[in-house]
Amino acid sequence: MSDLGSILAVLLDGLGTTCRLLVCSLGLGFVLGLPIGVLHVFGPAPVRVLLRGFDLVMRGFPAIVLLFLLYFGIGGLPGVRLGSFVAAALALGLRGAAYQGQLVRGALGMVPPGQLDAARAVGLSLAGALRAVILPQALRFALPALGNEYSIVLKDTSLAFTVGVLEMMSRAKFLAVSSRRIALVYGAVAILYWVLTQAGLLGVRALERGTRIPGIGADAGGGA
Amino acid sequence: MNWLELLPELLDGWGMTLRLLAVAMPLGLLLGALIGTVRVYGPWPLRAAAGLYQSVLRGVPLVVQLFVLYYALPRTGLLLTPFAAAILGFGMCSGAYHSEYIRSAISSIPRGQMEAARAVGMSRGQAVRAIILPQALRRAVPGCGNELVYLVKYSSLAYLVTLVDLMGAGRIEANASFRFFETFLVVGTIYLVMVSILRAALHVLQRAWRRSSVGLGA
Amino acid sequence: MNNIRSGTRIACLMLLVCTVAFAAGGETVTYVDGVDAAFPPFSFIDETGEASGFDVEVVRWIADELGFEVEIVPIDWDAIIPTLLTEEIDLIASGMSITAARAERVAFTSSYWSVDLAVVVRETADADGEPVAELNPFTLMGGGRRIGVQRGTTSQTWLEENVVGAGIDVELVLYENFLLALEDLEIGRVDGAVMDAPTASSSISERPVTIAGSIATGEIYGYAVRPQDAELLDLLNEGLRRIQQTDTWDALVQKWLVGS
Repeated sequence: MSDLGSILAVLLDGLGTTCRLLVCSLGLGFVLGLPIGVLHVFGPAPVRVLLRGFDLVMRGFPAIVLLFLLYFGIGGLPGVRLGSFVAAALALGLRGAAYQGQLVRGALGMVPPGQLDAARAVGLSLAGALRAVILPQALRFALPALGNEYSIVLKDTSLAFTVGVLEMMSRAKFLAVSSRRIALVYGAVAILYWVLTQAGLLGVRALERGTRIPGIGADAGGGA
Repeated sequence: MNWLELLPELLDGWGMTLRLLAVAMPLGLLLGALIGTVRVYGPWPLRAAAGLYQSVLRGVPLVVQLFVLYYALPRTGLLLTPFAAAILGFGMCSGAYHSEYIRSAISSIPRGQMEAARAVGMSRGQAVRAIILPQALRRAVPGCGNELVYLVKYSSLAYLVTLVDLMGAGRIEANASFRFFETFLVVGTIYLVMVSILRAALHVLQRAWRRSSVGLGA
Repeated sequence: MNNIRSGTRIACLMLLVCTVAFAAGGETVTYVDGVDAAFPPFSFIDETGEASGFDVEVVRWIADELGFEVEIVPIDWDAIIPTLLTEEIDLIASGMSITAARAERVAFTSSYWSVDLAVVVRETADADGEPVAELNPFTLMGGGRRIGVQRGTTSQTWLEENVVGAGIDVELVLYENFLLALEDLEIGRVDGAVMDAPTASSSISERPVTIAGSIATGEIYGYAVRPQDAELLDLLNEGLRRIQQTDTWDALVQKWLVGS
């Protein structure tokens, strides 16, 4: 049993880095994804074309390839000193931005069109309408999908070890070979990831409940 | 840089990737249909087991699943070749996602369908196979199609269990030539091309089925 | 109105969280030493998660002696040179063989150790029940056998050039690190494994595998830095020169590199 204890100690050491990477990637994805999503729907045509190109690459390249491209490619440019953590956070964050952009776009589509018309009718500008009326509703619709995104990015952090980030998976790998308790180590790390995933899902559900606006939502009646 | 010279080096790896996908994709769909159906119609112990399967395989990173299958399983006596481990890992993980899409698609079929089927004398099993599933599978196409796209991309992890797939070939090539950026740009583009072709095929499939099927709009 | 404020607040909060989370990981050390995390006896991460091994101790001694700080960071071996070149790490002190191909990309210190490659195979029992090698190096090389090596090592290159390249029918299986190759050798997924001799000796004692023979490549190890880091190169060369004149060197060699 003390074996398990020392294994967990090493793995939890990597957990901190995993969480930091997760927060940074999701955060970057959201901060960029929100405007991207809005621009997908409301932006001028040239911008939308550019975004579709961005989308195509970020959602067409495997995550691991993006990690390598950022770490070796951008990091390999003369004068650029790109640490593995930053490279991983950028790669996952930009990819997340593309996906979250799509999420936001889909969520915007779930807001009844009448909402925008009504907002404009009472004198709000497009930006104002977005901030005060549309986005609050859209983001609530997007919560379940954002929960899914959390789950995906969490699992993608387990790929960061390939560019040298010392998160939980890299610790597990080293530990498995050095301690020779391969089954125990990988079993333990699997459970840890599973727990993290569940915690996130519960968190998202709590967020959904906490931010629910009575009368607006999938379970509400129709009508603008 | 000689981009075109890279392609022959990567060709064998690409072939391996295609072989992996050719087996893993149907396996995943099959498992998904099975688990999804069990989740809706099975007795509660099976439903719980299926639910656990879904939860575990969607909550644990694919890397970990592959390592468990390849490195940890032999300790219990089950030795898998790299190819088998990769197929199993991809199929099972993919199946968990497919099963959720299929489950929700089945749930979205109006109860009237099942009742009508029973009314004309079909058993539950017959009704599921002949009436419910065909409709559900069509509804599940967007979700399942999406998951197939994910599989194409995540097949790039096969090199972690010593298979020389497209990614593995890229690693070898990049290490030899030290041209990491160019090599992975080409590798990534090949995945992008595969994904785009798959998406286009799914799009065509969806359009064809929408025209000929019973559904919300009919 | 509340929605605008709370929305903006949430966005700011997220940016803040990101920045803090990111900054919390910042570190300040002078030189970063990239090592293979699973390459005993030269460099490895032990069960407690600490870096250990011959090269690790030598570099730490040099750092102490010449007055700089060193941070040991484990890196996947086949990406270690690019990692050096992108300035993520500053030196590689990890049983790295000096080769012409590598010397084109990095600058090496003078050599400090020399090794051959070892051919490792499974043990079986002979007629008297004594453990004996299942295959010898000659029977191993042929017949479609699978040989495991660590990706990005001289073992891989040697086999590629002299065995596979010579048309001999073997399949080369590449692993992230050689310990995984040994695992698979034990299990039976590969029929043999080739790696640097000291690493073979230090890893086979608890496993039912044995060294069947060696390949006399006479490779020499050196520390690697970026070509433009002449100052660091001088520091390391000076450090190596000094430590090799002390008893510490002999003690370390005795501790890590002699016998097993």
